[in-house]
Amino acid sequence: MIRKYIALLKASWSLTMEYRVGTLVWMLSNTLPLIMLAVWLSLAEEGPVGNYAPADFVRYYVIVVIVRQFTTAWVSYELERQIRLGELSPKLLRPLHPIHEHVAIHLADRVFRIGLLLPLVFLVFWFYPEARFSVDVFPAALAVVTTVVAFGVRFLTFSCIGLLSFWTTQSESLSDLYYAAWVMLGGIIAPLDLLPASVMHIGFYLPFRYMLSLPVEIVLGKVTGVALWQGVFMQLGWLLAGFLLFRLLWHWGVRNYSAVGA
Amino acid sequence: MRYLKLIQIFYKNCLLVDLEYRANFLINSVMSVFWASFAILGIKILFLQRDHIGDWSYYEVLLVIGLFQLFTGVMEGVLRPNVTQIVEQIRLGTMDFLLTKPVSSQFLASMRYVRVWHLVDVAVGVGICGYALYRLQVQVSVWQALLFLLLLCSATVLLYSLWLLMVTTAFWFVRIDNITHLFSAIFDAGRFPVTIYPGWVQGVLLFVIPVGFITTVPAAAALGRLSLGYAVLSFVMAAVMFVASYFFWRFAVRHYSSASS
Repeated sequence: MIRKYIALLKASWSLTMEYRVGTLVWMLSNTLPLIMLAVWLSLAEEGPVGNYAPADFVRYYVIVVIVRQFTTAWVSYELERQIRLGELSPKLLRPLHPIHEHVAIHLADRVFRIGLLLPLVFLVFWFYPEARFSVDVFPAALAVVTTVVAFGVRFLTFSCIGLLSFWTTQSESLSDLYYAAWVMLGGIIAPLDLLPASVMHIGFYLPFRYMLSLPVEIVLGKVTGVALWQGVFMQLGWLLAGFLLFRLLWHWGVRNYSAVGA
Repeated sequence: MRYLKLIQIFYKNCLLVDLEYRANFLINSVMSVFWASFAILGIKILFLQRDHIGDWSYYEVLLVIGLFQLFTGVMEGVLRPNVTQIVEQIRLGTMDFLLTKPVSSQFLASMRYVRVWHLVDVAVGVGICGYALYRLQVQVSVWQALLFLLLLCSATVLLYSLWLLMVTTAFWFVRIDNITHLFSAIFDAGRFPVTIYPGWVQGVLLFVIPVGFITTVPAAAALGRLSLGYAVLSFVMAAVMFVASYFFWRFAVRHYSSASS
């Protein structure tokens, strides 16, 4: 299994390098956090918004961009296409579960993205010293762990939506809806503590915070004590739920799947 | 006249095709209303904290959002379907058949298709604009209304030219889905009045990727706060981009040597 995975990762890395310009353009297309940063900065000109001074917004959105690049996933669109066009059929015959191919390409892509991103982050903190901050070892380590789990939650729940293509042709619209909810409740439109309390009360139970915002909150020290462990617990809960749901949908879906032209 | 008649035939043909897929009407309507509410919720969050963004009030920003939705509809309904086809034709080499037809190749390539159900976005956008203007109780003079409509036309021409410029690069790059995606991502900045962005970003959004002329400038005209200079500039930009995209297309077609030949 490990040897298969190493081979898969090598192949994915070559693929990532082959499409490097494409990946770069995709990274550049992540403009929404920057647009929102500009908007919030223009609001913060008159004085702090909530607890946020201009430097706090810069710091927040820089970390959002990093975590987002780490956790981004497009697997639902890939699964949708493979199921709709029947590309999945030959892959089902292979000795390795077809989802591992997607896991590997996402992982290889991470290495490439972070390599490009880190120098840019250093430049931001270099030219904008007000945004620098210090973080203890423990929250930093926990932030790294929760970022990895956040990728897991995002990958698995998006995969589940992609798998709905076994039954419907509209899973792409569902992906868009899910994505929009994530933009709203995951911390991109606004830091979550600027949303109305009633919304965040519901948001606590939904998966969106655990796909992006939680690691950002941890590294900035916005969530501590009991609330921190509640957050981590909810995140692990969603990881497990996503995994079980994926197994279930895959099992049902493959059983009644008959590809186009088969 | 001949071109108008052709458009009539093309669009009727597309309407007949789309009528076969009536379920798409429902789905597009749901998605359009959803995206509009998404945009409105987004600015509601901002207006929880302040009652102004820059010097724009809530309903004034809503007018910008309405225009954004309207032009998204134009993009998805009228421009993108053609782009998809051109790219496909360049890739497969069937562009040759298009070039040999006795009408302008640019016209055929860019006006042939329309996705009727995506025009729901246009309707939703017009609705939002109407509601915002009603709540603002602006007294629009005849001149102002005329200027607003003219600016909408110039925005449409501008958007068309930008898409044509992007598409034309497909003669060299073949795959341009990345480029159009990047364009949409930058177009997203048009959800907000450009005046709230830092100076250099405003410059980019007005003169490099002129999104500002598409949503902010017409909105400012309707609110009676547009200086004449910007109105003139808007028409000049539209004219320059249109001519530039026309010559770029001609240049590209002249250098096109079909696929695998």
